[in-house]
Amino acid sequence: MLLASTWRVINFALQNFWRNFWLSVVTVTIMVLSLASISSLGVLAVVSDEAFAKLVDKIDISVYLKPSLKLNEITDLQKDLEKHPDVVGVEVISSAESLERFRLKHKGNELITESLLELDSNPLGATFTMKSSSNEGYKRILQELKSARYTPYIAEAYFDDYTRVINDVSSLVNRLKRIGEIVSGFFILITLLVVFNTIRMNIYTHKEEIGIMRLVGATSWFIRVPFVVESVLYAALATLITAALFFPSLSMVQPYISSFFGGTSVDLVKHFTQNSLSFFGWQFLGAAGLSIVASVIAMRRYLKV
Amino acid sequence: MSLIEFRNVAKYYPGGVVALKDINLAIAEGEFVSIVGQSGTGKTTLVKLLIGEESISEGRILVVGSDVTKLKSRDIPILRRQIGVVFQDFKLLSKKTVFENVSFALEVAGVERKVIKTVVPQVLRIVGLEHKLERFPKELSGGEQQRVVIARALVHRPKILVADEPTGNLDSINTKEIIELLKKINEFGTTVILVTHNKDVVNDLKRRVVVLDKGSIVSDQKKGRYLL
Repeated sequence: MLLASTWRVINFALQNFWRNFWLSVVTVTIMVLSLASISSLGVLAVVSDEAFAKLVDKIDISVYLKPSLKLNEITDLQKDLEKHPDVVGVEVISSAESLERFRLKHKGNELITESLLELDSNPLGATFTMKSSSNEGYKRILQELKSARYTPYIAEAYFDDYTRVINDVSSLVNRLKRIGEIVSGFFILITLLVVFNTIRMNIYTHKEEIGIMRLVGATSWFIRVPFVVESVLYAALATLITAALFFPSLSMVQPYISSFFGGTSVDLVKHFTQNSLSFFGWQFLGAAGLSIVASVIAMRRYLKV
Repeated sequence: MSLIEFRNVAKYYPGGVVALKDINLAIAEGEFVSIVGQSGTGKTTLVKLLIGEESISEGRILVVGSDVTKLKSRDIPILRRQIGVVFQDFKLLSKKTVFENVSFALEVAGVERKVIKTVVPQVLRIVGLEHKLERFPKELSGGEQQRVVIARALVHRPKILVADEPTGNLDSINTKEIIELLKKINEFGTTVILVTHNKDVVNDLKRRVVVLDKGSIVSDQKKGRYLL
């Protein structure tokens, strides 16, 4: 009996959907727009995290050693610096590699390029690239490198401080997220109103049928639940359509994002495919919850059982 | 013990409107009772109170021993399955066939499909529509449509059948057919309450007649007549 009733409730919900087909289409469309704006926020979050990670990775201290240092002195100095509590890692770039990088960096500068050709030997020493776990750590390392202990070995120590850039990017991303949240909030409100109105219209369309159902002894549950099921159906359809549009859109956008990050960046399609169940699962639950709330409010107002 | 009992029932509406007052009425199992009166005397209000469609202002209504006035809202559907109701305006679903209109009453009660396939044809045979299962309401005459409604009212095998002006929209031939059907149903043991203002119908029946006037019972005769 319960199975028969459940199947009939679902059947009535499907009938409601088809009888006001175009109204159902509008409702689902509005929901898709809401979910699409929320999905865009998700993509923005992933891309901004990637941007931050890349910026943080760029922060380091470049230590230019004197060209006269021998290999064993360089090795001993590296080991000494690695013992510092704020140092996470020290990468050694040989003098030859340093010269090559210098050439590449200034290849557009004719004066420097010609000057290098005049030189008989490599004027550059080896370079250390040092990383720390925090901004304060970098400052302490820099302070240490300027001490008299290291003066015989170090020509110059330079700190690539991207903190300001990171703060500016963070501020921009937060502003974008805020705008995205407002837009999403706006769409969510419209969704609530549209679902409310759709259920109200369906109650009106089925006024006669509902009257007969009451007359012949249908329970309140049997009369109400099809409208709730109908609202969940809208949410399910909207989620499926959003997912179907999401991945092709992401594939289109991926090359531009990769180019922005210089050829290497997170594979958005792969990332969201791996997390699709949770990503769209939560969206469906949110949309269904919102729809149920709207339908319950509409029934309270317009359905007298 | 009576099947239905109205004890000191009154119904007031806002603005001082008295729809019913001092209604004391007992109906035994198997009776055929006509409740008559002019328009606005409270006949339909009495029916609505009986099926829990409206709440009483005073008194009690007992149906098969249960006090309708004390029923919780979740129990009202159970009461309505025990009382078959037929109205003047048919209330059939135009997009469903005769079979589907009648089976609808069983579907909403969660009855299984195989039971529906057995019961519905039986009930339609009682009302003489066994050959019109796949017709739509617009393809039937007024009398046939009303018979479908009666079949739907009977499908739960109720102890009580209430017919509120069932012949109001019918011609005299169809009216006679419907009344004969109600008599036949009564002969099967169902208590029938016929609410009408058609004096010819009532006087031909020669059954119990309860007369309402301005919301009160003015006459209750075992073999009554309806005199305007």
